[in-house]
Amino acid sequence: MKPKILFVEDDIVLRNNYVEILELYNFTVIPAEDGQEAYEILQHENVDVIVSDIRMPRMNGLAFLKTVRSESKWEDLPFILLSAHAENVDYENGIKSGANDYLTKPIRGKDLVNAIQNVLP
Amino acid sequence: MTSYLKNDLYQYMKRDEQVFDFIENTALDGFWVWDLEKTALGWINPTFANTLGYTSPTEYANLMQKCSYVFEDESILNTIPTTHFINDPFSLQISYRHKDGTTSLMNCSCVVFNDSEGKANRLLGTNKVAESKVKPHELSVLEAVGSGVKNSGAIYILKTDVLGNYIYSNDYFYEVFGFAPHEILGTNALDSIIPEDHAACRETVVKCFMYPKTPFKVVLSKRHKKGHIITNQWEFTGLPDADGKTFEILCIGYNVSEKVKTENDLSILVANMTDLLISVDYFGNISYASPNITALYYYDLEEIIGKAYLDFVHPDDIEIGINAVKQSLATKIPFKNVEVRLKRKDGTYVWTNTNSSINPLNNETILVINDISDKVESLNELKQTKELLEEVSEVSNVGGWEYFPSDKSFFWSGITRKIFGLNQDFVPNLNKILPFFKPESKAKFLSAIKKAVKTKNFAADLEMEIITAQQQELWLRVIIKNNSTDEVCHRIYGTFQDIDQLKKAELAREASSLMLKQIAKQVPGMLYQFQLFDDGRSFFPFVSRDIIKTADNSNSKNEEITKGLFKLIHPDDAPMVMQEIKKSFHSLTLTDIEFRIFTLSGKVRWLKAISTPERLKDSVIWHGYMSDITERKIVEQELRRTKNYLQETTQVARIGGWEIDLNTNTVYLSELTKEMHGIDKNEYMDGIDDGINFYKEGRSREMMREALEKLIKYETPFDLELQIITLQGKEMWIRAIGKADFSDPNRKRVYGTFQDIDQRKRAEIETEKANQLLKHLSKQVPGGLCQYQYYDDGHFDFPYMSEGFLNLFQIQKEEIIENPRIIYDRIHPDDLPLYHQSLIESYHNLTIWHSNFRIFLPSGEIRWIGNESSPERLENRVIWHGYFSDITDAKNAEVQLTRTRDLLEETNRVARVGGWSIDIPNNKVYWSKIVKEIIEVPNDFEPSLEFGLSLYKEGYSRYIVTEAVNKCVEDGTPFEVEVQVVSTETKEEIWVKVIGKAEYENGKVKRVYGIFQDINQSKIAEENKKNLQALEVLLVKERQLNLLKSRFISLASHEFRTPLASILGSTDLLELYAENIENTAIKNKMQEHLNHIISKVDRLTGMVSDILTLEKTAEGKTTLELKAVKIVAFLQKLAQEYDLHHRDKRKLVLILPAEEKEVLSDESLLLHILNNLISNAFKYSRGVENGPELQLEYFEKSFIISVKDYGMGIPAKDQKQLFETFYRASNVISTEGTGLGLSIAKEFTLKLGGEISFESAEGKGSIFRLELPYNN
Repeated sequence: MKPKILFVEDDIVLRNNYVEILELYNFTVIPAEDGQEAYEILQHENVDVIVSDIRMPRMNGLAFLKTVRSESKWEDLPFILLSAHAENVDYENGIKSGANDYLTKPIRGKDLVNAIQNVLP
Repeated sequence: MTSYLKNDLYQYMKRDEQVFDFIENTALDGFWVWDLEKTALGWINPTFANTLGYTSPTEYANLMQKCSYVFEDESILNTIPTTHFINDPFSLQISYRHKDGTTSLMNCSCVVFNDSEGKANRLLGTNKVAESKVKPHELSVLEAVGSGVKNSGAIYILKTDVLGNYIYSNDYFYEVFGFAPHEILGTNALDSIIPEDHAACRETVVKCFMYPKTPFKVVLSKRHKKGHIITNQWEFTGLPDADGKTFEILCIGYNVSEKVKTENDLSILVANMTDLLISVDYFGNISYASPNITALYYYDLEEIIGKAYLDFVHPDDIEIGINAVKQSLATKIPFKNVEVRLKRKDGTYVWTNTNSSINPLNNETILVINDISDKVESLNELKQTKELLEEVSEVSNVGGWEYFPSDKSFFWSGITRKIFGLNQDFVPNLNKILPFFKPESKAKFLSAIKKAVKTKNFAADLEMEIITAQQQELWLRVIIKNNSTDEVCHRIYGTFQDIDQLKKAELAREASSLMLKQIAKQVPGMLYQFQLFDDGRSFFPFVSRDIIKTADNSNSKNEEITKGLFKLIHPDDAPMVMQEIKKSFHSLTLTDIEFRIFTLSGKVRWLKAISTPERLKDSVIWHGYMSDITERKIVEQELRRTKNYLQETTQVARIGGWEIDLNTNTVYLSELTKEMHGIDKNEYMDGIDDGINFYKEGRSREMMREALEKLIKYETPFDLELQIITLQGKEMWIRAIGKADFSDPNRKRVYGTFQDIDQRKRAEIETEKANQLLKHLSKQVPGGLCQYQYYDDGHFDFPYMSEGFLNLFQIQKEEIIENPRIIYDRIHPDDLPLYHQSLIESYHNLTIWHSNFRIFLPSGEIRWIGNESSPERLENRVIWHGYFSDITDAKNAEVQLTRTRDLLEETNRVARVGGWSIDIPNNKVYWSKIVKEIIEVPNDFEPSLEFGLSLYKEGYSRYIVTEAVNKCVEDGTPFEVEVQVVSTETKEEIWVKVIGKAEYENGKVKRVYGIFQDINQSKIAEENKKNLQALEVLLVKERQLNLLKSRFISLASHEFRTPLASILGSTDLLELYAENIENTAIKNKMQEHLNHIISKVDRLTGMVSDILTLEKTAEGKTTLELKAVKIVAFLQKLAQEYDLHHRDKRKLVLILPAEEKEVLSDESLLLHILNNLISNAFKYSRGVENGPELQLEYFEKSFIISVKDYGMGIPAKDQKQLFETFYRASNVISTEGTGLGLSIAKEFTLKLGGEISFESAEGKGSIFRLELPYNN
């Protein structure tokens, strides 16, 4: 079974790019355009890893992360934040909120893949 | 020398063993020998000298030079009969004088020795310290004194043990401090003394230990049981034990809280005034100056006192000053509103308004000096207010009235109406006002009025009781006068003064002075006659009834009974009884003996026998009265236990006793009373009149005469403070208390105490004088003094308000006492918050409370009030001692002045124009703030003319200015020059414009002043100087731009990343798809271009994050997160990761010390700096074989991390700007870089508290050193 990734990103070009890259690296990818949509998807989809942007409309990445972590079944679900905010505070904020990793944009495809593989069970 | 007397004594002892025995038995405390032929000579044995305090050999030797000194009364030697030889010693009590001047009574046994011819030539006296023996009469006086003191309503008496624990206290102490005896006795005295006074208390106690029997004064504050503080004047005396060492401390004290408080408070109040008070003596010298002189005129008090007042007056005003002061001193007429300039210590003058008044106490002139420099305009109004205030305060509490007998009508002043509780509608006439008087007073008033109508120049001063319209009982002092020279008078006038509080206090005191009850009650006893014949026989010729059933020999009158009776006497008392009888037999003095007898049942009873001897032909017969005093004796024993205290008390507190036996008109005085009168203790007063004549003629004598009369006639006790004149002519204040005891008709007596209060009274008078002076002074001050208390629970009150204060607010004292919040009603609502805030601030920080606020007067008028009060923290509150004054005029002027002044200062600052002046007489130079700013000297700098001139640039500038100033000083020629000065700090040459003018006085130049303007800008660049506003606009713009930039950078760095991520993503995809391209050549070409894209994206990303970092650092937004860093391990890891991530075939060379150290630093900042330096080192040494080196070195206070490369180096011309943002060296243009890295490194290094530096040589390489502290 291919690992299933929920990829959340509001920038459509970027989203498509990464979906394509990850699929080439042999992942199943479910795209979502913001936290709200991703949360709805999670209700009926089992995923192995979530990769999410932070700044998004409706529900942002941190809020989404906190929502996910608030349910016990997803307590340990791997969650990677991928953000344009590259400062220490942002990183700490993300980790504190329960993210398994915090990556900054831009990032090479293979670096993202490495990070995903690191958090996979 | 007198040692021959000693030798003689040896001879006597050898000759007769009895002499030795005599000495051995009786000379417990030493002895002396006297030469009866040369009465001035004697010899004192060392033991006795020692007893009297002469301990060292020198002291002893000195004493031997004048032995007679030891006798308090030398003449006693002459009274010793010379017939008592060794087998017939004679005993008497002698008062000896100690080294320290005190005296003590000793039992001295004397014998006389013969010379070879049988003539008495040597007197030997052996001494035993007598048990304190009190003569019977004195004892009863002492008892009276004792219980008087015990119940004293004025003096505390305490006794403590050596540890300071209470072992005795009189009732007054309990009463005043609110403790019950069991709460005090056994506790430590220090417990209730406030901590600030502990040291003083201990010091005094130590003195008592060192010098027993000497009183030491100390003022201590003690807490009442409820916590408030009472300040007392104490006198501590160490009571010595048998060895002369202090074993108990007697403390006598009285309350001085009021006095101390008043003194302190008044001085604080005075210190807060803005008016200076000085007192000028007859010679024109200053004898008093209020302490605020230091704050107002900068002088220390010592610099002022004793100096001539005129020394401080401006030379031009001296004439006015002289006239005023001279006239005032000569005529005793005060002057008003004399305006003179007074010199401050710094040489400046202050315009003052001076009023004088005459101090009635010493005829000195008191000057009240008010600074009017700022208030000249409002002066007139101020004067009027001041006069008004004076008038109002003078008449306070005293109402006036006039009476016109023709129609029995009265005129009443407002205050009189107030006293009677009546308003303006009441039309007073005699019939209408009489009902207000209480019956007795009514009669008094009416008869006085009637008398006044008929008497010429009538004057009466009476005290009366009225009932006011509000049914309140009041005591009034009523003065009734007329100025009539006719038989019938048409106008009577006078005053009513409310003396209710005074009178009530007086009555209360009288009522509380308790009658002395503890008088020995003489149970019905026996009258007897006892006869002793010259041949030694004795018997009782008459015995009224058998009191001594025990004798079992009723009505017997023979010798057997006498003998039987004597046998019953307690063996301890028998010798004394015999002795007394013997003494009375010889001297025919009254006997009064108390002795114990055994009853037949074996019980001990006390008897008292008083008898008067009468000499018969061959015998002496006593007519006596004997009573059983056992009961009394028990009481007395208790008394006796305290007798020691009492004796000490009377000594220390100087309380003596007196008694007059009215049946015999005999006056008995205790020794101390005699001493106070200056009467020799062996003398007596002849009678009452003799005693009265000691009182100072006039009031004191009259009062005493009257008091004694009343006492004798009506048993009215008295307690008076009067002046006596001692036999030696010394005037002295005493307190005399008198009481009557008529319980025994046979022994009607009046008695009392007599206390030396001279010092206290004098102190009181002095204090009163000082208070009067202060009150007098404060009355003159235009403004009010008040004390204001703010309690921790939020309520507040005004313990003290001067008349001026009440007038200022136009509030009645009663109103504000009843409801202190009324003050808030007066304050303008707009000013209330600030008023309150300033108060609370002062309350918390105990800083001076300044406030200016507006008040509404009842008339609707608004006044400005200024307040300056010093706070003092008390237990549950803060008290302010404040000064309030009307500053309306000053305030109005101030508002305008402030506006103008602000405007001026602003203008000056913008134009860089300052002022200067030179006072010619004292060569004093003044520079305004701006001048000091221009030439860069501190604001408190005090310039001199020489210094000022030296600032001008040597040559033309200095010459021109010196010439111009000199000429201006000489003849007043004005000048205007443009010259250069050299600033003191930066040594910058500045163009200035100096304008000078002269001010004349009496045709002479008095002052030169002018303007000093910085015109440097205009001189250097005309266009820059044109407008500072333009610069301002630019500044604003720059600030806006900066803000914009900051926002933009933050936004951009985020917004750049997303497209960069897209580019990178696409590139990644292309790279992945390129894998599938068959054509290797194309595939490689493609990969090459993709690599380019990736590398540029990397670079762009790096730049974006660098810019953001720099911006954050510049804005101070980077936060330091300090933690312990193991520095060696940190660098090892850093190098490892660096090598891992950068594909350079060279490795970073590590040069690290073996020792690991922990430093306090921010790891991420450190990482950033070092990554930058290392990547630079690699970048700029490409193609060089040796890799860069990373070295760590420890120093004492810091450590240095250096990064060294052997690359291209930095050209010398670029080195200076290397750390500037975006700056790049000229030889690296072709190498990638943003010029941000080092700039960030530098910012971060500073943030870490370190320094970054480098050395470099082009073509050889660079070394960057990062010096950081161990402990940030």
